Amino acid sequence: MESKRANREVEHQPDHDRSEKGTLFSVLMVGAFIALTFVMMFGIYMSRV
Amino acid sequence: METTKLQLLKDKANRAMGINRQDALFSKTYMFIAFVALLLGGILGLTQGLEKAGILTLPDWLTYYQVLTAHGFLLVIVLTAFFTIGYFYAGLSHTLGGLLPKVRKMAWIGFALKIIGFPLVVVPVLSNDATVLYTFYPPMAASPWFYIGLVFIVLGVWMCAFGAFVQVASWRKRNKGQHLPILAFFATGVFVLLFFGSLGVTTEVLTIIPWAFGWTDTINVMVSRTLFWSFAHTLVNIWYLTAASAWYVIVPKVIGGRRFSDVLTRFVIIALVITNIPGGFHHQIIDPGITQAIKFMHVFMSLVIAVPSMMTAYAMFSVFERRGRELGGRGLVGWFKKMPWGDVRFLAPFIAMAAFIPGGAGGIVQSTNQLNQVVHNTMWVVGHFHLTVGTTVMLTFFGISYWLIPYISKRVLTPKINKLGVITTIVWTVGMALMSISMHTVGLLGAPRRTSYTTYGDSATAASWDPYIIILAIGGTLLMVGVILQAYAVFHLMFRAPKGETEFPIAEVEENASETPYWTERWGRTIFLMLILIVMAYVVPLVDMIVNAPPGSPPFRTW
Amino acid sequence: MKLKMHRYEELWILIGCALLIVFMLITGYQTFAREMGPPSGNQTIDWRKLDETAPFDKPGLRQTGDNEYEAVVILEAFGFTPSNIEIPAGATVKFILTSKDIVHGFEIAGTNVNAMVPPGYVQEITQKFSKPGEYLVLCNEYCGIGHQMMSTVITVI
Repeated sequence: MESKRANREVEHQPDHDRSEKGTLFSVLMVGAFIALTFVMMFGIYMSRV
Repeated sequence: METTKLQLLKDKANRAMGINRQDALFSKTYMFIAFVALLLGGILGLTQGLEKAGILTLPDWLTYYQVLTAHGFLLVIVLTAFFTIGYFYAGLSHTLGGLLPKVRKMAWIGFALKIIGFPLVVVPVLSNDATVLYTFYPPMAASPWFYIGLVFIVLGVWMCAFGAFVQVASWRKRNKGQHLPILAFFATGVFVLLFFGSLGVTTEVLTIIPWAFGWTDTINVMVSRTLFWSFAHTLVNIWYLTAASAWYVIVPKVIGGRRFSDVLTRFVIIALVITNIPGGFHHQIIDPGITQAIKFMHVFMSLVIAVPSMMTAYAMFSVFERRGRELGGRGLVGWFKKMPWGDVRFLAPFIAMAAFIPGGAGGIVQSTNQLNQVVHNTMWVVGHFHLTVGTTVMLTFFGISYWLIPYISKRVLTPKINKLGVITTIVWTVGMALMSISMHTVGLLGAPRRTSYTTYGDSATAASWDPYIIILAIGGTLLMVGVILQAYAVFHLMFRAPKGETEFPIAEVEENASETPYWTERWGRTIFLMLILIVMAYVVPLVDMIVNAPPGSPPFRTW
Repeated sequence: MKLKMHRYEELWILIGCALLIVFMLITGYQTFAREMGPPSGNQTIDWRKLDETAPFDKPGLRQTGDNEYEAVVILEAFGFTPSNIEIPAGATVKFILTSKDIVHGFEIAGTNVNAMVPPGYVQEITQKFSKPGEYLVLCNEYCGIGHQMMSTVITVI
């Protein structure tokens, strides 16, 4: 019915002003950097063992 | 004894008319000294870089190691302490309605103590009687006056810490049940760490003084190292917390946004205070006399500190994204472009945050137990801390100076000085990037830190380090330019910029923020938890080092 | 204690902690199950009497097994005793180290051999030398005016 459809539309509409997707992407990039740094250093360590 | 009404009036006056002259004088004095220390420390740093590259030869009366001792002392003790205290005292004055007269008195006594200590430290260094570096590891022994000077400086810092505690306690009494204004909350955390964190090194120095005088015969080398690092590790996180205070409280205001969740901000501060001191052994991972289990426990505690940093990374991006989207930014990262890149008060702290990504990542990995063997005491570590303190902390401090100095000097930041600040920030970034990258690389190749120019007997390995050290020297030269520009900007803003009122930029919390629960204000409990962790981390190994100690060592002078 | 976090922040902290746990599991396993932990010599010694105390009364390289060696080295400002050590390629060497005076660092550039050597302790670190060549050994803990000259060479033949 009318109000139900309107409600569903509101649910599906992403909240642009409040999205934190960019933040999640950025911190995951930071996490990837940390992981890469570890892999590199661990690799150097193991190559010298 | 002032009435509440009078204090309320003072609060209002404070906000309307800016900082009062007496509080301003205190912060101005500290800032002045901080940037003189930057200038001197910078010149010394350049000297070191040029010497290591084989470009400059030092005269007989000034060795590389004296220069290094002074460089370390001026930048990581004097500059950081004076900036931190000057900045937070201005913050306490602004957010807590002006400093109490007795707090000002304590702060000036603290100043006097530090000024007495300063020549006691510096003169022996200049006369080559304290060429022990800022870590002064026994059984190398400097002139006893060097250590006495250090005691005066620490006492001076303690006086400022006690002054801050008195100021905060007075506010809490007059505002029962309320949350401490956030900048004062950060200040409390920093001063708590400054006091408790320095108890270990103070104990160490108090045992060194009679030994250096010859009144006691021997010293316990491992206990000394351990007490030193219980302090020196905490020190770096003190700087980090100071920089973070500006990131959380000031920068959102500069970009026209709101600050991140108040409760999470306070939680990060509390977490940093509690977990800070017990990580000290990651500076001693390859020492003998400490068991694998205890070392690993300290590694665990050191890595725990990464968690509040990760929360901080999230908070920063979130604040930028929210503001950027408000300004029309769209897409996954379009909001990023909406930031005020041409405003040095944003640009400098932003680059500071960015530098903490490799700085923090390197820090995590180099303290993960045996991985430390790859880099300990090599130039990698020097690259690491030039990123963290030299860029993250320093660029944040620089960024702060462009509004703090005008605020305390009743002057304004002009577009010209702002532009100069942007140029300085870029020069600094390029210089640090060149230096830090070359240092990390040459460290992996085995080049040691704290070592003057040498070919190690025409070693081919040592020769392979040369190109990186040349790049290091180039980076260092750029940094010298940055130091001069920054010092110029500071002294200009302090004495020459047009008069006017500069706002102290404090961001508001997000709208519809939920009420922060009161447990955050229970500093007694926070300090108690901190002390428990310190005991857990240090009692067993320290007792072991004392009870199972080898014969102690007499003073040695090897320079 | 309730901390309201956006679920993205919760996700990030979870991933971050998982990374740290993996780092600790890998290095912890190596340390406690494979004896690859950092050098942590626990024996104390009277640093004043090295000349009369084994093994430092006879510093030097000696074979202890098939391709296994022990190198007993005394560090002092500003040199190593013995210096110029020769080792056959493929040998595993256990370095047994102490200092005669102040704190030194024992580093073989380009390898994982990196240990702090204070007076009064017997420090130990083991390394397998597979690749022949000349390895620079140096002190990496500032020890005085001759610190930058404190080095020697290990030749792996």
